[in-house]
Amino acid sequence: MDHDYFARHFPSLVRKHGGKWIVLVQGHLVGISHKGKLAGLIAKARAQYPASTPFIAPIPTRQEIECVL
Amino acid sequence: MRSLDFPYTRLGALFLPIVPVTITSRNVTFRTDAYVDSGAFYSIFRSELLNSLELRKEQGRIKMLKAADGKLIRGYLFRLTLEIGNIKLRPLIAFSDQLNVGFNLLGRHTVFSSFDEVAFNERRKTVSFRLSN
Repeated sequence: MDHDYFARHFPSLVRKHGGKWIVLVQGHLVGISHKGKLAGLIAKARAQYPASTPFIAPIPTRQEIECVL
Repeated sequence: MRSLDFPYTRLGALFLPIVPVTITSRNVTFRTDAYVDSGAFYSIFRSELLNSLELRKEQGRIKMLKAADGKLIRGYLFRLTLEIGNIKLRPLIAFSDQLNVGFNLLGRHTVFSSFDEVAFNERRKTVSFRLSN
């Protein structure tokens, strides 16, 4: 569910938020932040959805994608 | 033969073999995505994820790894539980804060090698992990 959200929104996430991190739970967006605020975002996810496993992923920049190719 | 098939993630004209994985340390589990990288020996994840696993990098074994650009980067190796689909593995995963790639990378060592076959179908835009019954 979370992977599907990430894949579906991947182009706009890369365009608008490349270099940041995304946290999702059960297909709901908990937040997007820089790595310095990631721990707070994860704590928020675990507090809001204590029984669920959060999805935590880096959002690559366009440049980083071209590097890996 | 069991086969886990994942469609590529699309970015404009690019199609990327990114798959969902679940990673577990002693007490903590989360899901993330990883780029399936047949050119990588070790699986290398972003070091920011260590905090989420309640691990400190000092607890891992230091390993110098050669990045795609030829530079050596420092990684910290941990043996963790990694699930791809419903297949549970115990691979060695390196975490690095010098990984200048915006992805977690799934490599051959103890991930690809846990399967009989990892196949990229560029026409169908899928990556498949196959295992004998």
